[in-house]
Amino acid sequence: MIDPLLTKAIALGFAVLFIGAAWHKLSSVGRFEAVLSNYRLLPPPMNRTLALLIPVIELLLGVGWISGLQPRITAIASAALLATYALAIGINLVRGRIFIECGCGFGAASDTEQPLSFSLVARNILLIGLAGMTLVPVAQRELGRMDYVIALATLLTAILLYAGTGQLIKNRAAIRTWRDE
Amino acid sequence: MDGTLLVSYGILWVLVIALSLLVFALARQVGVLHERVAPAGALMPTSGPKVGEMTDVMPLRDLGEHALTIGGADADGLATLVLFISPTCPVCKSLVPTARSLASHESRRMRLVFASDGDKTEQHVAYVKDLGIEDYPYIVSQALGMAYAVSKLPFAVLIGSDGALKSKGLVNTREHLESLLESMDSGIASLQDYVDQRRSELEASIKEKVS
Repeated sequence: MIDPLLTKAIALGFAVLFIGAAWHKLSSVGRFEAVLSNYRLLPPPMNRTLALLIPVIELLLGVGWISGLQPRITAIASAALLATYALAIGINLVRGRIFIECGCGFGAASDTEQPLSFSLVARNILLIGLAGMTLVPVAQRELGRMDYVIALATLLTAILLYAGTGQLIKNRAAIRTWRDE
Repeated sequence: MDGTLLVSYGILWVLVIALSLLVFALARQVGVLHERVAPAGALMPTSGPKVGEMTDVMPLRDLGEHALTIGGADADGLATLVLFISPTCPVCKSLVPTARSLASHESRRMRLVFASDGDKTEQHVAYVKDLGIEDYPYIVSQALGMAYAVSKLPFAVLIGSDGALKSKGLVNTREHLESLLESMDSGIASLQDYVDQRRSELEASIKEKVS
């Protein structure tokens, strides 16, 4: 049994994450298509379709999280999507194609390229864990005004920490390209 | 909740958010600083395909809608110099005449191709006219730039007639451009490689003398 506030905060966080990611991808479909083809996982004609399909799925998931309809399906689908990303990144890391762009950033850290790294896989696994947490049965309790204030504060902190983490992962990759030579 | 506790709770939230903001700002500053102090010159980035690797064949179209391929073995036995430029890059403008003169000098073994990206076709057409490079293929393709991990402009990629990547790098001057050709002729990817090679030769000869 976990407190409903915790589930609420996670749901809000995922809503922001998925809607933000979808908006970022839809605003430059051509770029995202190029990113996908760089992953070299699918026959090229499928990349175009997928470049449109992925953001639409992300948008649906975002709406699912914020509306609270079908919470189990939303959580499981989100975990599956995040696991697919982690797998795609992992396959290319093993192939040694670490230089390709991740295509996973959004917000302030997205205007420059984000190379692949195992930190990104770790981040996705952490997110999958969070999505899984919402499947734990929730204690019955009415959420008051104070709860929403706390949820928003948590959301704000989470967004900042997420963006900070993304930036640090990117910095580390940039520093590594210097050292390697 | 007790009054004091409530106040301390509120203050803690404010502090947590402020600290998160601080961490993010610090990380961002490190990132920006890193970009600013990046070395300038004929810099060969470690990202992207490695020198010596076979390049992928990429069928593309230039501004005049003529089909051409970048990468892979060339049917005419010519090497290909791809110069990535952009209407928004001031250094590119001064480098284009240099590249043209180099290309006409080396026309027997090398062809010159310009590449750029961006959606505004009319801007590129005007740019080509402005630079007087209508005779050269000018490709607008984001995929091409991403395939060679072009992050800073002007960037040049030299693909041998056999389709192998001969050299690449950020180019600012004629010397930088020529160093790419030099690298193709000598088979040494960079000055650093040359120094490393020389150093091991020297060390070997010293060891020989000592023994």
